[in-house]
Amino acid sequence: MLKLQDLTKAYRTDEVETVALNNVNIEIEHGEFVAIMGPSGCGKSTLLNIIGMLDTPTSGHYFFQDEDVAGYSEAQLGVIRKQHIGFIFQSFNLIDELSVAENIELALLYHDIPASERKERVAAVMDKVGIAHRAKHMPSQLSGGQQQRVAVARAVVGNQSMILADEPTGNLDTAHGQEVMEMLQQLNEEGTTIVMVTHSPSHADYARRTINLLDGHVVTESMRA
Amino acid sequence: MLLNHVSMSFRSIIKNKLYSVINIAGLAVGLAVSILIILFVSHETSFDSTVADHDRVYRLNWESKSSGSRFATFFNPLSPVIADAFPNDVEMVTRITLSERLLNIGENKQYQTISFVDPNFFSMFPYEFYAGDPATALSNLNGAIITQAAADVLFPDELAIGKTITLDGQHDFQITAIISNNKSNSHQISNIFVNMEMLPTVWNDPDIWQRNFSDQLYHYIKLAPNVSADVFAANAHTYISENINQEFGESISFIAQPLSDIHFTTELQNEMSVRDTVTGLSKPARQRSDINIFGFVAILTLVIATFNFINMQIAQSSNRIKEVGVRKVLGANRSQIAAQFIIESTVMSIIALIASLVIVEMFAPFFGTMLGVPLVADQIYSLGFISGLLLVSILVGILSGLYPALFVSGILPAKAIRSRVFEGVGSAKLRAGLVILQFSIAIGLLSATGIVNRQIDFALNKPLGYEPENVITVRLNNDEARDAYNIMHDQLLANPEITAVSRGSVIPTRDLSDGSTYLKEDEGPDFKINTRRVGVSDGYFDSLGMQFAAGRALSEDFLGDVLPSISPDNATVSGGIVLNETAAKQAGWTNANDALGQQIYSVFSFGGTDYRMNLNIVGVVEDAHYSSVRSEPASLSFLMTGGGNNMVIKASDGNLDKATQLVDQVWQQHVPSYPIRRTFLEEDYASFYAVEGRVFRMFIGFAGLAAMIACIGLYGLASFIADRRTKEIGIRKVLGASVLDIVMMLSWELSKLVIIANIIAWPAAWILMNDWLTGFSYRIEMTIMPYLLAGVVAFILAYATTSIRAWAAARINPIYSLKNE
Repeated sequence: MLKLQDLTKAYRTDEVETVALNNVNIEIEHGEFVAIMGPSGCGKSTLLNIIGMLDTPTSGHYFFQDEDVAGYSEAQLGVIRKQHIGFIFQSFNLIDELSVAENIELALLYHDIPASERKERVAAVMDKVGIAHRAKHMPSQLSGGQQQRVAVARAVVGNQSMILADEPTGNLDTAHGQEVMEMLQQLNEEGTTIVMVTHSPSHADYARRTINLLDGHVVTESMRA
Repeated sequence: MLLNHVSMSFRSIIKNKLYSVINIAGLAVGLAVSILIILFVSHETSFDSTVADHDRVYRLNWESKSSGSRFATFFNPLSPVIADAFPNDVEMVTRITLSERLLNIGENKQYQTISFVDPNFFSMFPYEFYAGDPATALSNLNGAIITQAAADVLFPDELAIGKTITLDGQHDFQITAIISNNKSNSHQISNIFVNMEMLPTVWNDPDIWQRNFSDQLYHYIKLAPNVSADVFAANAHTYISENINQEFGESISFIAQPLSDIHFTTELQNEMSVRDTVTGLSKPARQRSDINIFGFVAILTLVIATFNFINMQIAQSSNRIKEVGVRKVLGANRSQIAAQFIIESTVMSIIALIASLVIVEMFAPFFGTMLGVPLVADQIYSLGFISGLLLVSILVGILSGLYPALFVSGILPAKAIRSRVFEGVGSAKLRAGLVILQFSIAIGLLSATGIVNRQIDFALNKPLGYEPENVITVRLNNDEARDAYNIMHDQLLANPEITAVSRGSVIPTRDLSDGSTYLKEDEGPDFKINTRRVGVSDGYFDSLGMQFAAGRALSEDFLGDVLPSISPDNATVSGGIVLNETAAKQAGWTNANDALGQQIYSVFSFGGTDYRMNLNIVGVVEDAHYSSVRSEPASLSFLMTGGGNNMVIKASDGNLDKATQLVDQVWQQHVPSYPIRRTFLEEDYASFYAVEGRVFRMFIGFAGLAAMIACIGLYGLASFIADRRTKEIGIRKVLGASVLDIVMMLSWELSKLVIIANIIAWPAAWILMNDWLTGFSYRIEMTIMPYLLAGVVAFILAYATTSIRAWAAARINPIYSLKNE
């Protein structure tokens, strides 16, 4: 599905150059569930942003479905991103002024999908994540777990083949965290590629492979038995 | 503490440079525009207010009951008669009349306006005597008082006092006093004054005081306190009817015109010239509605600027939540935070006030020139005006500080420190409301601008009914010239460059003469055709390019056309007459052809003789605008009297220069004693409308500025919204929205406020402009176009302004806006 080759990301301020990612080589197959772990500041989020095409590498190659997108413009990346990649954030990032259904529908608004079809797909995905009875509620009326389920629904409603989750359980208690992880696992079993950044080893265990980062390097890769 | 607040304010202003500059500039420009307009409006409304007890001073007018025409002049000898009859009501009466005379100073000859006054004129009107004694300056009948401006023109580099000026080559006057110039806000325009008792001599008119109903003078009357002007005018009229002439008295009425109304009365006959020929200053009468419109614009501009300022202050405060939180954690209480905000915005608005005064100082002369009014910024620096301005800016400061003071100061410190921007209670709604109002005003002003512009263009470009192009006019202002008319006529016409030469008592752009009332042969004496009479010679209509709706021009080729002069020996005369369309319609001939060949007559009695003119209608000429296009074309009748003090010369195309030379030569040859008084009709016409046009162009500029200020506020709101929605923008981008999608979304959100503003602005502007247009007899039909255009312009401006800000917001990489808190 994607392959990072000698990928480096450096941030330059006036005086210092900070290397966030240094010669990273990662390959992720279609349908994999990968967890990225590491201490704060190790480059996890930078890596996820680059994979998610929200950021571009300083050097190296990023092959997405065999296409090197490293040098693509923001607009080009945007087109690929909206077709293939869904995001889930630690802080949910739902829009407070929109209802649950509207928040999910937002992901289809930029896909030229007719309104009737949008409604069907939103209803279907809400059923799938078990949030249909909350369709008309505003995010502030939901529990954290419910909000994150809405976010998951929003990430997959466009039939994205890959979900990038940035500490999806970071703001949730254990029970709700569990719920969200099970949902991600289910999605993965249905064929969605999932790349997840997490601090929680137990949640990382849901993944089949864990990549450990330290100071911008991949230090270990471990496969679940 | 206060000092600390003020110094904090300055630091905060400096810290947010761009924002502070935009906000202060917006308010400063708004204030400056308002101040400039107020200067203009107060100049115009202060006309003649420097006259002592001006609220008790009136000018006597009379009105013809038959024609409805009202005259600025009053009957030569009658005001002193009235004053004697009502000693308890009248405190003072004084008279003035202006006439252009040839003035000789040594070898130098020039035309100047000489004013004949009663010596107490200087007791009523506040001139300052720089030299000479007010009490005695005119007691010698050959004394003359001149203004400083006249002294500078007539006697440059010389002491004027004691010098001699000669009128018409025969009457010597000695300068006995130098007085201050006419104030720019006085309707008086005279610069050379001599005693009224010289009038019979200089005008060679010994009967002038015997003609009770000849109105050649302006009469000012100061009434005792608590005397009602209307009652007094009625009593005076009754007295004159009963004691002077019953019959004439019944055909007229008297009006006491308040001094302060003179500048605002545009429709009087025989009105005094508004142009000071010595200083060149023109003081055209205004429509009160025009001045009101300007005042209205001043207020609206100030409102827009204030809303704008408030809006920007609220926007800014929402970015300072964190600062407030820190202050609170460090122990600031709510009122201290509130005071901080209020003092800060007050400091800013006072800075804006100072900046606006600088702008006013810089632009007052320019605006003055554009408006044709000497605007002096000095007027501002009166205690009243300055304290008023200060009050307004402090009020604006407090108002705009109040919202953040009330709401932001109340926020919990923990929340304040965490949140990036403040989503205040109703803040967005309040600000949206302000923007809607601001834009309603801006759109209203813009559409008014469009209508004003179209109306002025329409008025200036509408068919005049005559052709001012290539027409030279020469005043036949002396007997030598009048006697030489025929030979000059023949000599000029012999040249191919000149296509027509004629003579008339009135020509377009000059005042119309007295009225004439005609009766129809087949109707009773109650059916009256009231017209203004124009005496013409052969070729008059040709030389002015006037077209006939029916029939033909008066011509010497038809013996019956010529009207013999009327006299006690020849009391019944007959001749041809031409009516204009308005007069023909008034007489009941809606189809011009129906008037042809009809007989009308006019009768009047004078000195015991009954006179009668029998007139045969030979033609109906199309209406022509002799006076302002604002008014209806007058009802006119043309009689072939052969007289008139204006010579009209039409040059063929491209030969105006040659024709002008010929005219000068011929004059030189036949009227050697007098310099020529020559103008081009096209220039007269243009200057007739120049001031009006300019004043309204200025209006357009002001409205444009107001719209621009409104856009600053919109930019402020766009910033606020973009900040508030940073997270949302990030989410949308992650979900696939392009930069363009985001820009369109944000711009639309604000632009729809502008659409709402249109809905408010249109009906209001429609009603106001419809009212303004009723002041014009020839007016444009109101269409939706100016409103649509204003709406579209405002929408585009708003869309562009918000797009700039939205573009910046949309370009932010979502990884920054969606960072975990």
